[in-house]
Amino acid sequence: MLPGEKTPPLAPGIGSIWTAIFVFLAVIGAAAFLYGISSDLALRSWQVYLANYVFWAGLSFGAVLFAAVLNMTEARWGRPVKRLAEAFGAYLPVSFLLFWVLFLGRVMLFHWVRQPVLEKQAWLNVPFFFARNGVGLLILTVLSLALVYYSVRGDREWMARTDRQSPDGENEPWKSRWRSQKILSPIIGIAYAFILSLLAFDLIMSLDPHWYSTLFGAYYFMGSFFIAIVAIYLVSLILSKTEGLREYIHARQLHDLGKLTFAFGVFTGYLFYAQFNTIWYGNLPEETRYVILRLKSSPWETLAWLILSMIFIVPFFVLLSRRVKLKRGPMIGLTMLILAGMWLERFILVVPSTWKREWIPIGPLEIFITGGFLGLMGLCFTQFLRRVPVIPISDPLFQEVLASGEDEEKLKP
Amino acid sequence: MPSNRGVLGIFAYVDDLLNGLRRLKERNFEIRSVFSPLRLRDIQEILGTKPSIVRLITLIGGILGGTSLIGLAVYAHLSFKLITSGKPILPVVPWVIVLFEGTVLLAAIFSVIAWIFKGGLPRIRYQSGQSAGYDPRFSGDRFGILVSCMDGERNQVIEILREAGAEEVRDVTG
Repeated sequence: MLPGEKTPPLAPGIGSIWTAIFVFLAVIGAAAFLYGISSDLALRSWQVYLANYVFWAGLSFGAVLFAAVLNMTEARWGRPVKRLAEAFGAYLPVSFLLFWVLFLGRVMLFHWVRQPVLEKQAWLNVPFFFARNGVGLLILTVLSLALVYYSVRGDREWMARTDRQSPDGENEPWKSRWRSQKILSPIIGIAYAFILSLLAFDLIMSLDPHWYSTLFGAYYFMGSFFIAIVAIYLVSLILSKTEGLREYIHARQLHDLGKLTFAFGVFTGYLFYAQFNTIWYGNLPEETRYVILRLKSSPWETLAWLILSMIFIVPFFVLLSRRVKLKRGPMIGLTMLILAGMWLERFILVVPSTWKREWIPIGPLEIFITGGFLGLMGLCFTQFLRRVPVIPISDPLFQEVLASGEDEEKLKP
Repeated sequence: MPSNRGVLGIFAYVDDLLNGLRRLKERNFEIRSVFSPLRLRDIQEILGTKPSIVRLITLIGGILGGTSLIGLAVYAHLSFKLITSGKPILPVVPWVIVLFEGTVLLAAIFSVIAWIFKGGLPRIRYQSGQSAGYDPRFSGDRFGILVSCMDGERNQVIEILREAGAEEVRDVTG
């Protein structure tokens, strides 16, 4: 499509079968959760709910941050995948509502609700806990959705332009939407770091209220950004063959997303090691207990090694190759492996704090509830993409890419 | 005989250079050398050249650096019983840093050395004719393609280079 053409870009070919699948998953998940919390499986339901909450919320915030980073860095290579990144943001309002469900499970999940920790009571008390996290989530959700809104609105205005309006005129409305995005993007970057740190401290670290790690917030938000990049890579790989995106997502985008996956995988691994090494050296009982429980004691030790290989060792060696980053099949497999690994990593951050038995609580209940979250995310993602242009057509940088012919394939697999 | 005879095209713009390269490649002319003041991935892609051996040397340096530094640490700890606050004599966890530093250090040193020798350095003084086709401007703001050709092909090559946008085309011997 040329810059001057007015035909709206096609939505990717997402069949209604997917809507049916995602609705089905969401309903099954909700049913499993309701059954779980009303039976003697309540603890298992709540803890897997929390693990899923931190995974999927981190993913969607991270994906909107990715779009914001593309805006801040004025990256031309990534313009074709910008809308895919924004589409994950459609889950954010749902995520905001799902946060409040945790209020019902607070007694079961948070040890400090049952037995208040006196010296930390000023911070760890129920009203303040839900107030600060609720306000934080609201701020970041509104900022993220505003970014997506301006991006989509610019595109709609661009497509509905009259013949008198020039596609690249400086005073046209879509240009001011672009300026709004440029202003919002760095604000989102800063808010993301603060608010996701808060979530990490409150929703995960406070499960074990005597344990503390200063780096934990950064570890959580960088991990979430990593999850988002991998998820964007996965949907780009899947949708790169569909109508509407085929002409725009080429080897170059896939190669660059592969490089980012590699880089942020290494960075997440590095943050883990930086934290682990410090705790190992200091050898202070109040710090080591969290790590020993997960890495050195049954039943979690095997799972911890499995996670390390899924999110670090295997991706590291596979992604060293340039050629493999362009191969669709293997990369779809690898990104799914990393996402599963990161889900298990969130699981192992949350669950051992609340679960005290000698076996790992992963069974049909956990799978169904996770499937429910996947269904909700998938539903939001696909419904959003069906209603908006699948490429950020009014984005001036995307226009530049089109005009310069950079969107043509230059990199052969 | 054709190998020491060539035509050099000098370009001011990358796009022209790449354009010329593509056309020459399409017609199967032997491109002897491409000169560029900066690294351009596209050149390598068009020429389809094999990756440089420098990468392999860097890898060898990295492996050597990592293992030798870990070896040194193991030797020192076993020889002198360096026990630190109840930690094992061979502490694997902090040695990840030792491994990393050793790998990076020797990989970088090997890389620089390989890069210097592979580039034919040191060459104290530039003498014309020493490197066929080289022009000092290629270290500044110009690009060049040196094409080997028989006498019969010469005019064809010159035409391709000029069409692609070469600002100067000349014969090169040596």
